[in-house]
Amino acid sequence: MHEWTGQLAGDIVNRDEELAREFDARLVESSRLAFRVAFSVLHHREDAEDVAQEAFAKAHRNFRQLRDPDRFRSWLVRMVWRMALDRRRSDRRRSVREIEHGSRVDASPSHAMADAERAEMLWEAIDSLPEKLRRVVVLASIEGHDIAAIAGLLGIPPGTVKSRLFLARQQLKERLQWLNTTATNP
Amino acid sequence: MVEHNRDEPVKGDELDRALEALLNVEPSPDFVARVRADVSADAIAADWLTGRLVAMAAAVGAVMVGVWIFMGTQATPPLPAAPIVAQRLPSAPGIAPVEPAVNPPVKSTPIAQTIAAAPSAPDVIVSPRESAGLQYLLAALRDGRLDSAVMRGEQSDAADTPIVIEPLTVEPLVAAADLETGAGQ
Repeated sequence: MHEWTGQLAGDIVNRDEELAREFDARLVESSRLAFRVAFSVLHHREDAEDVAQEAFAKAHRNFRQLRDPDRFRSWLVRMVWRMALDRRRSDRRRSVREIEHGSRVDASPSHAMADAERAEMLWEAIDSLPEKLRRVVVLASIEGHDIAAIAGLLGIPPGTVKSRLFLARQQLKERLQWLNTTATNP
Repeated sequence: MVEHNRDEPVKGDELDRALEALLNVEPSPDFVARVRADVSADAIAADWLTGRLVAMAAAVGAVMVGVWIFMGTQATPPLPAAPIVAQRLPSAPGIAPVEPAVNPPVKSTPIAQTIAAAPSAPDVIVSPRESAGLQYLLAALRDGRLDSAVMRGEQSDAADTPIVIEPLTVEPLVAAADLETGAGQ
């Protein structure tokens, strides 16, 4: 009886440790995805990190049902998106947006201003898309997700992803005709 | 100098590059560490809450068991507190002496046995008037004023004797003239 109890306790501890290791692996491989999805909605680094952190905490509480990696990423993307939308709706007071330049930071002040204006217009164009199209185009632009990966993340057929992506690009192109820039030398 | 030509359609490649650049944002270096700390703190809080819930459930269960045991003790039907012993009364000559009636021993729970064996069990109470009446009855039987056969329930021959009703004789009424003259007096 005593040996059996000890073995049971040991099994429980081992299982918990295994779950903790698995969750940490998911966290490392999905942290950037979660952050970028939140950032695509909030356009604000700290807010995006807060939302992604909350989503990971929720994921940890439900991790026994989310051990499958694909299921975990799909659940995480949906959760982060929903939480970010809720956050944006409830945080209308914030008026200053942080414009991220990524790797395209230029040393020239004029180029920096142009990039900032360009990014602002891109955000406006993305935000004006219907939510279904916006999700698809954002995920397609994050980490080079292909059609199948987006379909898996959103839980929709690949054909639907393809058509939504086409529509999203079409609408973005119409709104961003100025994006076709030509560099001229003075 | 960068000029935007708003009349020309944007190319797909440029759009994709612009979107990727827009979303190519890295979280802060300590983001994963913060999430780890948050998750571990959440797990500790969850363990604490689970421990509290288990303790509360155990306490509630103990209270319920206590109440159940208490209610079970209260619901036990009351058993006779002590054997009922009839008083020995003076016996009549025609009546065989009757041994005092004693209740047969009752198999009961240990609690009931404890109560039955208590030395302070009360005696049977017979009211003085009932006792006096019974003594008078026995004295009447002893003196022959009362037939003991009747008391034993034996039928006497008199019970089978038919009742004879003697015929009634009705005298004639006194005449009214005799009343007036006082002849009847």
